[in-house]
Amino acid sequence: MAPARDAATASTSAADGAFVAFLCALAPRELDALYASSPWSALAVLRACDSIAKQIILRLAYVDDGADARECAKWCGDGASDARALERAMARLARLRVTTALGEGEDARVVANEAFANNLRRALERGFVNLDDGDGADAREDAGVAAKVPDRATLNAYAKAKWEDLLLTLTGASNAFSRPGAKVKGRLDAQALFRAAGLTTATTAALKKGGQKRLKNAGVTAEGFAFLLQTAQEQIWVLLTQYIRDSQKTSATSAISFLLRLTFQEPGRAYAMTGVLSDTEQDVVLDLTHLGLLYTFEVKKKFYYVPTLLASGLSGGFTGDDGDTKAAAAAAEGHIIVETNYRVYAYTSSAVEMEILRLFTRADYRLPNLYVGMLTRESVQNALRAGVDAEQIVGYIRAHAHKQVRRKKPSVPSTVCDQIRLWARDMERMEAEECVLYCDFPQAGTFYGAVVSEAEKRGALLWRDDASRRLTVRASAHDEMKAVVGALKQKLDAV
Amino acid sequence: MAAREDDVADDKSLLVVLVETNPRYWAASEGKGDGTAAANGLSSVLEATTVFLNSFFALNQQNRAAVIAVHDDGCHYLYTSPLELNAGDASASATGKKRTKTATPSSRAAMSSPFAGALSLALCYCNRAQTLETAAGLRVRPRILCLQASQDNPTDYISMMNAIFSAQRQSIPIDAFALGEHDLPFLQQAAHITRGAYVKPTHGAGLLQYLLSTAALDMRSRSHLKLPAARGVDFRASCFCHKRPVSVGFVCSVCLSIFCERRSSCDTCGADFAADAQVTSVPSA
Repeated sequence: MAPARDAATASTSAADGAFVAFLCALAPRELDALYASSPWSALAVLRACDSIAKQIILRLAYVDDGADARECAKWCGDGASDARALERAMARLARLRVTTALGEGEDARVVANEAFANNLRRALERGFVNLDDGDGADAREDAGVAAKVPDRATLNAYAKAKWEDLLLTLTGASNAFSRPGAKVKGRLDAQALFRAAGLTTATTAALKKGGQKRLKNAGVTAEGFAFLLQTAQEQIWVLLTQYIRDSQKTSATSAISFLLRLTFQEPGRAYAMTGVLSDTEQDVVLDLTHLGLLYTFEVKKKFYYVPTLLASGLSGGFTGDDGDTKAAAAAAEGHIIVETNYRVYAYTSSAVEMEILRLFTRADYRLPNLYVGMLTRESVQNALRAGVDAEQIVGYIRAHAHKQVRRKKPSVPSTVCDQIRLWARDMERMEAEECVLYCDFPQAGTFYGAVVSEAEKRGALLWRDDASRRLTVRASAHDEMKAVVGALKQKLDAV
Repeated sequence: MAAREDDVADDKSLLVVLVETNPRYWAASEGKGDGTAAANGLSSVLEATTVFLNSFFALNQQNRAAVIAVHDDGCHYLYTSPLELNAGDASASATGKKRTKTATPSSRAAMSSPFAGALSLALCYCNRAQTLETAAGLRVRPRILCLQASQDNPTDYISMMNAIFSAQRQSIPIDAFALGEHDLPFLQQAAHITRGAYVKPTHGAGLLQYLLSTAALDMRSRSHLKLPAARGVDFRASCFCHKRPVSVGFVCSVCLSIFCERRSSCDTCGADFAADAQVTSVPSA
């Protein structure tokens, strides 16, 4: 895994979401194959876009020869920010190869990707039912199967427990996932996945195997901390995209399109596995079961899988940079109350939620169902230093706001949000830059002035003190300045 | 920084679609009105609406919709999305209720449909949905889409305006589509007042494209993308006495009722104008 690509993915994911970032990183040929594969992928891409891009797709979906590029530019409102928003959306669609620009100048047209538009139209006209021709085998009729399907509450609890185990493994507080295949038949190594995604470093994994399990957070990278604060939906995409990149280079497209289809399947309903899915797809099912996205069971030598809420939330729609839009499952179960005095009450008994709160609050009390902490300058700045963004902290406490405070707008006191942002800005007050100090200039003469003006011309001057005739120059420009100063000196000496 | 608090990426929408299904109108207008959307018949309108609704659902998993049929004998819910998000068994109600209605003959030869009633029904539905979703800790942004083909019913003027103003108060935009050959002044005003879009498709066969490019806009993208400009909104009020559209009328100085002719006392509030000429002639709007 090239670190450069990781960095690029991370930087785009902040605005785009992990899924869009992942699609952007795919080769054009792979993207075209994906769009041609099934209506589900077209639908999933549509949902993953931001609201303006969605509207552009809808407008172009039924227009075969595309729209005039200059007409498209007129779609937005009159403000400069509107034009920028439209441009951003257009650029994003072009990156995803959903639209292509044809022609130049006067004849420039924006055309929707043919395979994409075909599949999208098919999905819209048939209304999301029976989109897969081979999907007719409904496993629900079989009484034996129906009896084995867990009810909704059990399924949710199962998915939640699995996912928390996974996150605890990341923080190093649990080792439920460190022995691959110990509990379930999956062959997915979660530790390796975290490492590959750049969320943990390899050394801690080794340390942990050496028995030092309580070495809390030692190997979690800045991305790892940021990851913890994201919505479950984002987290799943980060891991899944990494998973696809790692495991199946050859059949990536079929694996993705299967994944995308899963996201539209109804949670709590059994789908047949044996005899319906290909070998690759069955492998994917096993791995996803390990992550808690699916629940599998066996009836009469035939395997069935049931998507959990984690899986169905995946294509829920675009999640912006704030955590307010969240999968419906999590929205109703917030647990955090933040008071204007910076005290944080979290009604939870989940270890992972407490671990996350510990990241940016000072833990005061812990009762069986309650965590009480304090947002302090120190605790927040510690988290910021570990790589978390102020917006992520604000987004997290807002997304997990308790039902009682959710009724209020804003659900988190704005003074607290602002203070967190101010603390973050506090840390940016000082900026260190390497430099070189030039001093001991002759007290008389124009030499000092000439050097200052040369440094200024190059934009390398950082500080000057005319009284004591000293200046500092950017270290990067030092070599260049040395030659200039030498030349100046010679010139002055000659005079 | 304070602005960020309100900057909620919120495109969960509730869309209430009012479709005119009045059999009297559709039977009488079959094939008439060249090039309008209504000329292709009710089934083509419903087809476009269905695809449009599918695309609306495709935009966001949490989008909710309700379809109300505006019939000759009243308004009927054709479809409603399940509202309470964590309702115990979503699968049972997910498909909604499909109704089949047979036209009941009524003595009144109703060529126009009760759109004022339908709007009120839609507003009530929006209100109920908002209350329910707020209790569940979510926010939905409702909007209303009217697909009307027949002409306005002048007697509906007052109730229509009341519905429009309550929509404006709740900041629910009303998008209006005039499917027939005539402009619809009531809906023009509705779209204008509630900041929705008024569209009169010139190519009836392309109704779906019109729907996709204007009615699909959610509240968030409405702040960035332009809606079709309203041209020549008919602001004329209808008089309270004969329900005729008037451009110059008489307005009661007490209750602001509008009359098309001079009268000695106000029909609505009973104010007496006989003593001196208190009723002044003003151009309305």
